[in-house]
Amino acid sequence: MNLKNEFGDNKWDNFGGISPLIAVFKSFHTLNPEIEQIINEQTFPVAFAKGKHLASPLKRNRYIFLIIKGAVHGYIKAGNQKITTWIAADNELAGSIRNLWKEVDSDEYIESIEPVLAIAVPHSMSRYLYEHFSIANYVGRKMTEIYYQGASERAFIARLPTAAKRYERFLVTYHHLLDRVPLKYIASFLAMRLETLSRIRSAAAKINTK
Amino acid sequence: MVTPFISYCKANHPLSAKFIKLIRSDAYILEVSRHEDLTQLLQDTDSTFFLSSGLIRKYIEHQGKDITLDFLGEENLLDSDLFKHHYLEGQQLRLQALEDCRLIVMPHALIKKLLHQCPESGFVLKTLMMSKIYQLNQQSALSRIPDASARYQIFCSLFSNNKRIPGKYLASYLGMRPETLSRVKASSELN
Repeated sequence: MNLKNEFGDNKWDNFGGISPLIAVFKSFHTLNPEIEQIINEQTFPVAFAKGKHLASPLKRNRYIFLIIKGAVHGYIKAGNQKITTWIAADNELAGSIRNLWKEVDSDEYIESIEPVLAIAVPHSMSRYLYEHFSIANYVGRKMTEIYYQGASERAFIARLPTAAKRYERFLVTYHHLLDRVPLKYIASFLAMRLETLSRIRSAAAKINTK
Repeated sequence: MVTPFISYCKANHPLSAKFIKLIRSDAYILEVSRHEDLTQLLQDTDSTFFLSSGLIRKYIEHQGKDITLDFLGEENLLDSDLFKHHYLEGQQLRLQALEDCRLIVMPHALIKKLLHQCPESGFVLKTLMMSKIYQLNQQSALSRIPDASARYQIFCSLFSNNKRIPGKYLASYLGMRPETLSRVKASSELN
């Protein structure tokens, strides 16, 4: 996916003058001026309307996205069906991490489910920082651990034996998405039909009002 | 004895003599028998484990039901930190050897030494972790596919020798009853 900086030299005017990615990195480790300069120069804001694809198998994804505002889902296609495998919203990273390090094709689509404002983080920049700065190496490993935990949770939740249990788990680990992600995507993510999810939610609402 | 891990790392990144020397001196072999429960063994050892040979099943017990979460074959990694993540109502993650297994044990103290003394270690560990994340993402996608036959077909394409896995565990992993798995397998063989 070929993206470009549409905001020119003033790209960080609405972000306090620096790339928001710097704050994310700094939450793991202090940075040096050289790293900050590279991040400021090479990352850039991007905006997507609702229903737009940030990445697809047809166009090899060369970015990770830091979602500033909005929500996206990652899905695969099974026949004509879209299967949601992950959902990301404000202050979360979105993107296929696999082709960060290998030039490989992915069968994943990433689509906005709300209007999105994000920071595009080029794979080329991530690789450069990782290879040249031990601080970035450390931050990269810490972020990979977070990805790993997220991936473990997503793999786990889908294996819970009943739809009710999967929804219960969703409320624990993804409750922040409940009021903003369309139920059809939540149902797909929880490996259940929309009707099943509606039934479970109705039953839960009745219990809460008693 | 630790050569399989060194070979695996070398396939992804050049290794320094120092890296190889540290692995050879500080890593050791652990052999477990088929059916053995590895949970306590791994939990008590502050280490990362590389599965050199064999097959391990990762599962939890939930309300009397055994739920298979993963099958770990050769060249897979496990870490004792795995047990720090709490799954469901404090249910403990468990590990069972489905075959005789040989594990290469790398204490966390060794990992720290490698990261400190061998610059390529960061890349090596990252590659191993990325491979694991990719596997988890595949599992994630697989378990969300609504059609049982499709789930089975995709699993077969990802796991080269599913005959190593007892049917009841495979059924649990694929989110179907054993009877459904038998039917799906028979239909697949017919085709």
